[in-house]
Amino acid sequence: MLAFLRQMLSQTPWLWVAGSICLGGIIHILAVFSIPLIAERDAWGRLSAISTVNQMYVLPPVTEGVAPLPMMAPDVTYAFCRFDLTQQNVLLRLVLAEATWMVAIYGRYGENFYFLTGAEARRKDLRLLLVPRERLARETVTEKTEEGEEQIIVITPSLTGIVLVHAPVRGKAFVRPIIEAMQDISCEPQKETDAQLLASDQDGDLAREQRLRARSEPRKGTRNYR
Amino acid sequence: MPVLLKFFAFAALSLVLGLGSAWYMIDAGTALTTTRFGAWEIWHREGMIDADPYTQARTARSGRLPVTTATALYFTARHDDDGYTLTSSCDYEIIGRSINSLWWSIALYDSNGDLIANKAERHSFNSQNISLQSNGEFRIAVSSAVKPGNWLPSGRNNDLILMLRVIRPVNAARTTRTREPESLPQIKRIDC
Repeated sequence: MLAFLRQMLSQTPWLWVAGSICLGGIIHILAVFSIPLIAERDAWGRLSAISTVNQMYVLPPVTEGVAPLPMMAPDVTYAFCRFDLTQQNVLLRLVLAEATWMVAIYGRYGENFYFLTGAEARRKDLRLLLVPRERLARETVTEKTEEGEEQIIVITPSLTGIVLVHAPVRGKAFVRPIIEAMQDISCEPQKETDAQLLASDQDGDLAREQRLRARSEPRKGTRNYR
Repeated sequence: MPVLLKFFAFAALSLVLGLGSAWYMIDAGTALTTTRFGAWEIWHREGMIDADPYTQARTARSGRLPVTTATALYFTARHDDDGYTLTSSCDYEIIGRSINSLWWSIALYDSNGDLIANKAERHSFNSQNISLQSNGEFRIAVSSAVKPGNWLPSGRNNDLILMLRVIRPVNAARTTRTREPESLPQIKRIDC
């Protein structure tokens, strides 16, 4: 047995083995770094199949076989919005009705960069303005709107991402009122302020008129996901 | 050994080493990315914006949206305290005390991460609806047969996953950095 092993070792092409280990290491690194970029079934991909961007969706209670994401909590009601800041900032209006309600904001690849619970929020009704970091320098955004409303400015590391609102449920009887309360949450492109509209004279009167008309349209509500 | 044979062996070995080790480190985790507390395992940089590449790859592959471990902890258990795989063929008891946090929950899934169908439509217990004993302890029975008290039905022919979610734990940093969990529930096998 020992002689056989010695013979095997003496005949092994060690240079090829060393080369395999080096190439294996390169394949390992490439595989690990490429998975977030090529994964089609990541959270963004799964939610893309059931939603459009900049629209809030309230999910029905998670049950067997009805869950858009794996391992969702069965005792939490969720609402989500895939945001896209390419054209405009996104305004999120939400209610954290109880201390345990939470809002989590993620980048495109599921990195969580903002989290707030009802216990920490200063008020129940919140206005969050999502602004991409790259646009922050050339925009005037303040923590008070022209109408004097308080808003939280959330600087996003990427132009796209996901907002997920969690509302823990004590029992089945509480599901319906929670879903109804979540219908008031909205996620939509920010309408331009009067100052911005006046400043955009170079776009011409027609474009300005179109934007003013769009601004006066009623706000879209939430949609239930089925 | 002919050169062509050496080349194929070289390519096969490289692929097995590279992809196999990547799959293992993303799926099972290592001491670099995970910490074990008895039966419970946690990926300590899950959801974080500066997570390591293995954790990022795991998040993308799983399709989950975990909250950063600075604010929420997600512990999973696929084994009982003795190291045996959790299965619906056995009955278990989860014994613990209420966890000092804003909210916590223990949920039961099958090995694919899906909820297990049951007539009671019961899949989890949380800090708001669990029944505590007079000494402040809770006990959850995990069984395919009906049990009194806190009972999580485990169905039939399933391997099981338990997930403990702790939102805003009082000692999150201590738990993930110094490996001193406050007191995670025990998972005892009762009968098979």
